[in-house]
Amino acid sequence: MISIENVSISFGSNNVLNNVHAHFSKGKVYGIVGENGSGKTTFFRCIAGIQAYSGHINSEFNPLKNHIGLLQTEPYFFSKITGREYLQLMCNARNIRVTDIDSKNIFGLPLNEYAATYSTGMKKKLALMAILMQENEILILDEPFNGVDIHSNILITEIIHQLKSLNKIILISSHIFSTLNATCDEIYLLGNGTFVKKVLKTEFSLLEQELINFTVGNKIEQLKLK
Amino acid sequence: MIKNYFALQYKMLNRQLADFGVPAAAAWIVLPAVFIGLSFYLFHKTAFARYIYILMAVSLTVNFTSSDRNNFLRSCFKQGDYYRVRLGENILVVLPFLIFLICKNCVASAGILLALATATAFISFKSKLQFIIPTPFYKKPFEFIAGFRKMWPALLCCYLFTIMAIVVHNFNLGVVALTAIFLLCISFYQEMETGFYVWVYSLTPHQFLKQKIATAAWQASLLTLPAAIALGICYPPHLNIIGLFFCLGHIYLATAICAKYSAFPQPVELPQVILLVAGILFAPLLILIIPYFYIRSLKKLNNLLR
Repeated sequence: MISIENVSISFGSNNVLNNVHAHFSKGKVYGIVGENGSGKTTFFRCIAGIQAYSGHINSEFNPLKNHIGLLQTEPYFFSKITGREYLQLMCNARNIRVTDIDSKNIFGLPLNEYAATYSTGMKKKLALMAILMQENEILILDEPFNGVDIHSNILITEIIHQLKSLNKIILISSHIFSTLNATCDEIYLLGNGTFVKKVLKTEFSLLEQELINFTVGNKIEQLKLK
Repeated sequence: MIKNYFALQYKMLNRQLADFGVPAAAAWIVLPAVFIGLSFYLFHKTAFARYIYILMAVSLTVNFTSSDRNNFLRSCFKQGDYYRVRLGENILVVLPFLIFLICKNCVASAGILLALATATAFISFKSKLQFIIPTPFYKKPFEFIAGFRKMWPALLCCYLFTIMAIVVHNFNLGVVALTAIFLLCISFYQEMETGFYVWVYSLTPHQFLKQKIATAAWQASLLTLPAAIALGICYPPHLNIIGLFFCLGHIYLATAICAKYSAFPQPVELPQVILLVAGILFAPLLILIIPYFYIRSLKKLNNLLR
């Protein structure tokens, strides 16, 4: 369980998160949606303890950060480090003994090549593989489907289902509604620095329609396409 | 357009100096003086100075040869202008070396340097060359793995100097080579990792630093012991000096790691460098410098490792 109470953060005069409340339970997948710059990544960084904040984040896991696997939107890789060495580094960091990397390489990544030379999607898959090998209880996946090919998208969706059945807590942000629809139990809509709406699975189609209406409106007509 | 490019490079260099904590105006006065001083020292110390000098100057031009960088320049400039830019860059970086060589009446060496600088302007290395150099550091990434792969030619030179020191019976050269290996190990810690790579450790700041220092000590030993043992076998009367340099090297390495994290997440800045150099030049100061860096590092790391 993770309980978020009154979490706020501002950068200068910009209030990115404003008294955010949320409750995340084991064995559930939560989607966080919001426009670019709405504070999704900042929210994730607060939970992970990378970003300082005011308010309270409580959990049964202590310290919480040591149980979190964080997949960043754009994972950074050191130059001259192979994919295999990256996995070793990430497992060392959590004191996990590395066994049988090759059989776990379900994405078919070229692990003996430099990770920094991987494509965007390959980098994301390598970073995901690392946090899966860390055996975390909580997984924060910041745009896990971004830049990833369709086959891997299918695999990632199935991995998320499996993690859910293993009673993990999973938080996902995505700009592709169908991916959230396929994976999430609840979706939190982030706007104006707070969760403006919490939607259960049964109401996802309504939310999608709402988002389409809000986002598209008459903007296409404004384009006056010819 | 070429003029604008060099003006932009000048601006970027000044910004880098400012980021490092040095006012650009001061740097442009101090750096030439330091360069001249070190050059005189080098030529005073060794008869091989001109060759070391050429090697140093050419290695600076090699920085401009990466294919990514050159592909970008090619996309910006017409072919003729591209080569003018490359030549201009190479001549500019070797110019201080050229002037000094000419002042020292080493005209032939200056000619060789000019020819090499011109030649490297036409070279573009493919940095995506996928040959992965194996390292003995696989179990404990990342600093030594990345550093070894980037600096292996320099390490090779150090080992060659060690062999040369044994062959020509020059113990001092061997000590210089051993010191140089330690300095290379310290340079592996130049790159400041992002916060994520610190956060990910399930360790306290104290445990984190301890682990970093222990890993560095073990991995640095792997690189320095071959040279130290070879020197020890060939110069048994100097075992105490070899042992002293070996221990000092490890102490400086640990100090450099603490200095690095005392600035975290910012890159190491001038004040840290000055303290570190002071500690290297006058070792007893380390009694104060190491605890200072260590305590500062704990504070900085505490934000991410609780």
